[in-house]
Amino acid sequence: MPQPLSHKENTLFRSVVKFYEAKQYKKGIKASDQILKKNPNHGDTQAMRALIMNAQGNTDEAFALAKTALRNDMKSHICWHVYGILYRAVKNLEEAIKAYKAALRLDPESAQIQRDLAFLLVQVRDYPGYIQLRRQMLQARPSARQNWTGLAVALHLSGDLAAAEDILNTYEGTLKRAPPKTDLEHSEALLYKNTIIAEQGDIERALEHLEKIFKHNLDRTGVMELKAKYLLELGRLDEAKKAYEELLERNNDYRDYYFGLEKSLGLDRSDPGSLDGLKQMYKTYAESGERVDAPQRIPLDFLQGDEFREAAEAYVRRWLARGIPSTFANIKALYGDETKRQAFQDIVHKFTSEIESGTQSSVDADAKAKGRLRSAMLYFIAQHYDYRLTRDLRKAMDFIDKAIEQDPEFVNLTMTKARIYKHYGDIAKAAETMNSARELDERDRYINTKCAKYQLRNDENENALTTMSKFTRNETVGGPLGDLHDMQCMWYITEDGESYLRQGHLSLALKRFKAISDIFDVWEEDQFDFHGFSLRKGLIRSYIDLIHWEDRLRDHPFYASAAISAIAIYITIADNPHLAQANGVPKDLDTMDAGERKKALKKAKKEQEKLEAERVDREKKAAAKKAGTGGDGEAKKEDTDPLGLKLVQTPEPLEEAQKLLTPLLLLTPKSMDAQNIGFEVFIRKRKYLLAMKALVAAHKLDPEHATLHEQLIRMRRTLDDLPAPLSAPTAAVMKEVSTILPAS
Amino acid sequence: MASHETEQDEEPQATGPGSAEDRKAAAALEALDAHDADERATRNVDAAEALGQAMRALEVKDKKEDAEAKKVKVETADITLVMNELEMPKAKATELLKKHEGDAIRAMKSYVLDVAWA
Amino acid sequence: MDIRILRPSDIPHVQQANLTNLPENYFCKYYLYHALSWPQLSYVAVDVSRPQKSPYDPPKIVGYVLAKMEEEPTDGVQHGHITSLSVMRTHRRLGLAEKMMRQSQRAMAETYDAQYVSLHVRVSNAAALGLYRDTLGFNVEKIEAKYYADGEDAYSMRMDLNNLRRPVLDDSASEGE
Repeated sequence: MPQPLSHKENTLFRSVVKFYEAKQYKKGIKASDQILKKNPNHGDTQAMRALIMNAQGNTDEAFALAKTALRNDMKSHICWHVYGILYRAVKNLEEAIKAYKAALRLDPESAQIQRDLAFLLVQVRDYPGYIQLRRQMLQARPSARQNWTGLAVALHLSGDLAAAEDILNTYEGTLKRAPPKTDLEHSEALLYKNTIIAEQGDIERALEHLEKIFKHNLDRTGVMELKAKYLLELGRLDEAKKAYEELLERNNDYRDYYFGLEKSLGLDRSDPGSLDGLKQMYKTYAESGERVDAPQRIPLDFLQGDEFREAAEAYVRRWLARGIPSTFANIKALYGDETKRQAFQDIVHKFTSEIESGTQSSVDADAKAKGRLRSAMLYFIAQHYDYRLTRDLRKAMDFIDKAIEQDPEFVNLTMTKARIYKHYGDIAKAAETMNSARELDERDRYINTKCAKYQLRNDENENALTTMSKFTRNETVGGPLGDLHDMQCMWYITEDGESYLRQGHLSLALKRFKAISDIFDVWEEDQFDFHGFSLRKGLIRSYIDLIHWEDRLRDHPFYASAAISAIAIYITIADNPHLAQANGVPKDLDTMDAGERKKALKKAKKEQEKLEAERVDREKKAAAKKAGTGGDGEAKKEDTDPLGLKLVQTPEPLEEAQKLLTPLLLLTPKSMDAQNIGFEVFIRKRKYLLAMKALVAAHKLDPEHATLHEQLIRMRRTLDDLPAPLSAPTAAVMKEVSTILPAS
Repeated sequence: MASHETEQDEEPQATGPGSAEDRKAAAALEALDAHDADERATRNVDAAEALGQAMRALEVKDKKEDAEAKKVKVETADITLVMNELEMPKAKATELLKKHEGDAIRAMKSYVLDVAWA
Repeated sequence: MDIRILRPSDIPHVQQANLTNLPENYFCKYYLYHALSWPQLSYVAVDVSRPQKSPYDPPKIVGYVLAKMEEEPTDGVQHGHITSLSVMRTHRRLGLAEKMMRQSQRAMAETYDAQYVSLHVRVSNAAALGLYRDTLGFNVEKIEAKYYADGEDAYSMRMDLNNLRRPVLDDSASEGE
């Protein structure tokens, strides 16, 4: 039981809580001092004090005090609640949940504890736990709509759609009067229920329901899209056609609508009989006037042979006449088809002769239009010859130079010239050229970004950062680099890491890749506040989208590439522990003799220490200029490991690698790279069944893959040379799953 | 003569901040986790009874699912083996074994041959 | 390019597009705040003709408009606001900004009954001014001095949405449900 206080001290205690909530931390500490003077072991006061200490940034001490508080008063829900809050603050959600559950057992009526625990449960995706708690919350407060919605959402996410719908229906049944037409929350709730009905596969019923709510629902695009979708699925093609036509009237730049209309008209791209219908359908939309691209571009996907050639040429000419720079980007996907690629080769030859003879425009075209077309054509031709599938770099360079000659101020041209140098392999020249492009428009961040990227590809880390600093908030803690991390600038951090990796700076590279992983942790954390927010607002459909996205958050290439690079570094360290001692190590370290190697390592270590001292010094100077704050207004901590040395010196590189590997395999199993790197980790950890699993998966993806072949052989050798035999059950399993391995 | 026109070159800039909208953004994000002291009670709700029925339906379903899960018997040694070889937490290892009637070899084989890394 | 509604899963690449193109940047959470508070208002332009590199390719965002309803309108009038709008340099002159803006504005009027939409633009940005004022029909309301972090002034612009607003829905109950 919580220890009793005198009346005066009770008042003081309440003031401690108020001060905490008002963020008046110093006052709160003082008030807690007064209570503890007379009651030194008052758990609740100690707990509140710990909470304030944590808010002030003294997390370690806060934890210690919170533990003491608990020892003094195991039965206090406040002590457990605070303990939970602290664990949550350090992102240890499992422990936080345990603490909150303990608090709830002691104070089952507390709405706040219930709410906080509920959010934690859904954050870790403990659906059974979440459902149970939501039930309790609903029973405690059935008059609040969001408690009904909360339970429905819990059931929905756990897969029990029928029950979710049931709860929503039950709630609606309790409404004596329907809410006004202007009630957005109600509009949204109806649509949410509708999507649950559809998700159960009951499209008839979903459509019926939709038709009832259609007229007054406030999300017009939402209801119209659903209606069209349902009609199509039910095979009611005439009505579907109308629905898609109405959608296209509102937005004629969305392919989903066109595809829906195609199907409503019974058209099928794989059926030659549909060709005329398709052409007619798109012709109608193309002739609607104004700048609408889709109905002219889409046919290029399904037309073939001479028809394709004609249409493609006309399409490209139209765009080039308007001088649109993205013409090539818009059609290059078609190059994947060999005959279409050939058609474009022919078109480009035509353009080339026209340019040479100056006949690209008709005789009566005005000079301006003629010049514009010439410029655009030259650019198009240059991009064609620069593109991987039709590459002829000499021609590409020739044409881009001609284009630049006519139009030296047009940034995109010099950009492309830089790309051509890149494809030649002259990375230094490419970076230099991209910088020239940047200088043509110093106010534009896009070209600044491209320039920095090319500088990083040329391993000019310092120059790249200087380039970026023209657009970053340089007063942030950590300067431009700090700002780029704060603002979650994935591309820069990744490219910087890749550059350091190329240079053999393992620690800095690892630090960058770990930073990417940290950003993903932040993105995972970001959803937390919306568990409550979205329920309060009643905007559930987008909340469900959020949850589904977060479920597969790390399937993103940003994560995958950083994770794979980081794992590779950890593997290198695991295989060569001496590398952890120093970085920027010469690549031929292994070929040196012991004496030379020792010298090289010592030198590298000295260099690192010098670099570290310089950097710390620089940061101190920057910090002295202005106390930096993080995005949340709290004092930002200084980076204690700016060069990532602590990261590479980790005693358990394979365990660190595993942390990055697990989500990778879970979410991107179709990635050959993921399975390959998985094998490398598991075989070193001696988890042979898991190593085998990676091989089996890789084999299913591509049995002829080169790396896979090499790994299969290594696996066989490893199994043959095991120092101790596998346990009986493991051996039995291995026998059955290792059929893809070569013979001993 | 430049043939690339600039007047139609849409270069829409951000309409974002200076510090003005920065502060708004920070305020908006902070307000996100503000706890509603008053969960809005909706008018005209006579919920308790309707709720009772809905809850009872859920409870019946729960009991059924619990009963089924308890039937399969699983050896502790097998759980440890699976946890070790497949690096699984106890709950998952147990679930995997139950799915294969407690047969460790079948369970592990099935996991290795499955392309998903669940 | 496809013009469609922004979804939470688009946010990583919308954020990178913003970081690539503009000096005014935001945390992922701020984008989520928009997507989850006003899900109908933000739009993206997606390059759908890109060849696929892997089974996990995210959509290639070449433009976006991040929009909201003003939470605390100083004049007490419901209005929309454009937080951020940008199109990749490589995909200019396709009318993408205009198309995205029109979709967003319509949604503001239909779903939120917005009376007008406002935005800020750098006084030096002639091209953007051309888009908003000449193509879309915005008016300059006033100049806000030193609005941007680098000290530049902003035009505060506004456009009336009355022709897009839904017919007056009285406060009576909706039919059916």
